[in-house]
Amino acid sequence: MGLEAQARVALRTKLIIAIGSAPLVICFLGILSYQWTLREEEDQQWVAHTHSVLEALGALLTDTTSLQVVKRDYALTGDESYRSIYGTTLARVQNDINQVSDLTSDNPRQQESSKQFRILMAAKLSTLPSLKEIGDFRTANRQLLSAEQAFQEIRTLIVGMDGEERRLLAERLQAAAAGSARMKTAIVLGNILAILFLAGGAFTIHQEMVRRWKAEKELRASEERFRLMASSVKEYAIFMLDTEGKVASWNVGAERIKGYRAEEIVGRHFSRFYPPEDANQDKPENQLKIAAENGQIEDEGWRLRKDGSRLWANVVITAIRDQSGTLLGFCKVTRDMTERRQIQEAIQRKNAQLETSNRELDAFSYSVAHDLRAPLRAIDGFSLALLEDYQDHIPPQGKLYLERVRSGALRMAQLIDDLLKLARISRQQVERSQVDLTRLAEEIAVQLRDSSPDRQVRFLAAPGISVDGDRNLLRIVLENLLGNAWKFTSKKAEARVELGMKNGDGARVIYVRDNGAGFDMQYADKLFGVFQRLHRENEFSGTGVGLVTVQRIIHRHGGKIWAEAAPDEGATFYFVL
Amino acid sequence: MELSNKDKIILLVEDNPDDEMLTLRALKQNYIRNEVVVAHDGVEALDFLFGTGKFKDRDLTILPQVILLDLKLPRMDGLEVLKQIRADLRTKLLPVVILTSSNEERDRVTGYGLGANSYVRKPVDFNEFSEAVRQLGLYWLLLNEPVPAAARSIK
Repeated sequence: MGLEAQARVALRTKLIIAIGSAPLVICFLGILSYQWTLREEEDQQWVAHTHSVLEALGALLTDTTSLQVVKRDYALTGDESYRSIYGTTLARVQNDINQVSDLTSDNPRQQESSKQFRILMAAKLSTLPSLKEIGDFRTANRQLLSAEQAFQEIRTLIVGMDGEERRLLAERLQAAAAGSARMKTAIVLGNILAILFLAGGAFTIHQEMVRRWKAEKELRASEERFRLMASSVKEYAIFMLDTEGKVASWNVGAERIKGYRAEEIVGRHFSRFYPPEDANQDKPENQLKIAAENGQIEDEGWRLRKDGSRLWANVVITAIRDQSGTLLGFCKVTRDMTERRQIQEAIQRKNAQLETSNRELDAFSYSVAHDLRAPLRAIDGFSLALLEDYQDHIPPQGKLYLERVRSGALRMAQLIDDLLKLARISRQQVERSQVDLTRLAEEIAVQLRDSSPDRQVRFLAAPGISVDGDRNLLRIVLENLLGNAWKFTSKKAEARVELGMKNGDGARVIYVRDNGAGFDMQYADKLFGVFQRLHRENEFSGTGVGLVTVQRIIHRHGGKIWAEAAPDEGATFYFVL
Repeated sequence: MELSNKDKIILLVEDNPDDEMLTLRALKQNYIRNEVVVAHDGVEALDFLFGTGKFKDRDLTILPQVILLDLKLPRMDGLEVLKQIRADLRTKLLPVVILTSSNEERDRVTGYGLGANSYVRKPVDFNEFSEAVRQLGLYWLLLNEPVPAAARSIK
């Protein structure tokens, strides 16, 4: 069970205890009060009853006393009228004792006393002797005395009964008082307890309310923050959907991207953003279903703006659930990718254009090869024809001119060839493999020696220089560099060309060094320019394309090339791949 | 019976008049006196070989000893001509030397692929050009054994 649920249970328990107890206590008190009232009533009844008994005893005593008097009087006088009075009085006494007996029927002691009374009455007082009848003064006296004794006993009995009754009453009243005191205490305590319980309940409720209120405030604050964030994000449409897919919130980004204002769209179903072909296939509902199942769904596709125009959108729909896992709704983040898509398409078009461009360049160089060289051939050929067929008619200066015409044409052909080669290399793919530069250099050295066998050149190649690169392109690099070294040492008696490798700046640097003509470092930045030369044509031949080619190739490998030299002391070309 | 030099015809397929002239000059300089038939484009070349068009009434038993074929031709491209030559039984076995300015790899590959016997690049330098022609002539007209006449004739 989560913390939240646990807290809820605790709260409920507390409240139940607090608020439930109070009524219980009050009920209990009520019961007590009721009982008290009943007891009071009972006591009242007992008091009344006791009074009745006392009254009855009083009457009994009075009547008994009367009886005694009458008996004495009769005893003394023998007046017959006393007899009837005695009879009625006796009857009254009997009535009285009956009454007393009835009234104290539940009290065994009183019953005993009543019985005693009756016995006494029956024994001693049921008769009414007179002196006259007895005749004997002494007997009469004796009878009178015993009667007086009996009356005394009776009186004592009655007094005893009276006392007993009063005692009982006192007892009862005391008990009642005690009970009443207890009840009062209980009621007061109970009320206090009930009040405490209620207070406790009220306190708990108050606490809970404060807590709730704080939590709500925080929640509202965080909601507000979120709303601010979402609303101020312009690039993304961030909005909420309810569980059915109706729009529940909106932000600036959504307005910008989809075109609807908040008041226009909240409450409407989000399927209106989908183009008809998707909406008809229930794509919106399916996406919600998948999001609910998997938690999230990401999709790219066409969406509709308010004005009906389409946008290419990247959409993420996330299912939002509360702690117990109930689905609350969805959060939808839409990004307008139309621009990006357009850019991508533009890139693709550009790439296609580049491809076409390259192809056109290819075709172009192809034509160049044919079309530019043919006229050069004509220039050279016919100049030579002129020289040969009409040599007798052409003065030496003329022949010289024609020679220059020829060499001009030949040079142009060379330039074209070099340019074509350069163009081809620039377009070529670099196919990497392990290339043994030492072996390549040695092969090229052999070629160079064969081309000018009368030259003595010391050629040194450090063994085992192996690099990762395109074999053909690297061959061209070495052909150029070694060829240059070869060429520029042609005027040195002891020409030396070497190929080596060293470690510099943590990378392997390969170099080609010669001790030939060298160049002035001042013009080093021109080394790698197309058609740039640092020597005159009549000093050393060359078109000035070789080093450019080398540089291009090194750059295609992602490497660097540079050179150091001094006039007449040779040059060293360094490169890393 | 050994064919005399006169019967060994060279078919030169070349549209450029300068190159045509220079080639003929080179041949002459190198004492190659064979008859040279010049076709100025691919269509003309095929007309000659198959006796169509302006060569309608030619004796088709006489076929060139070697065909010097330039690639860059108007209308029908040199490689297309080669294809057609190789497609026909009558001319299928004729030696074709591609003689062109282009050194493009793909031309070489396609040329050999279509059945060219040789691929020679025309140098700009005339001396070199002349030397190349001489060697070609020496080889194809003298050293190389031609296709037997029986196989050459129309079936």
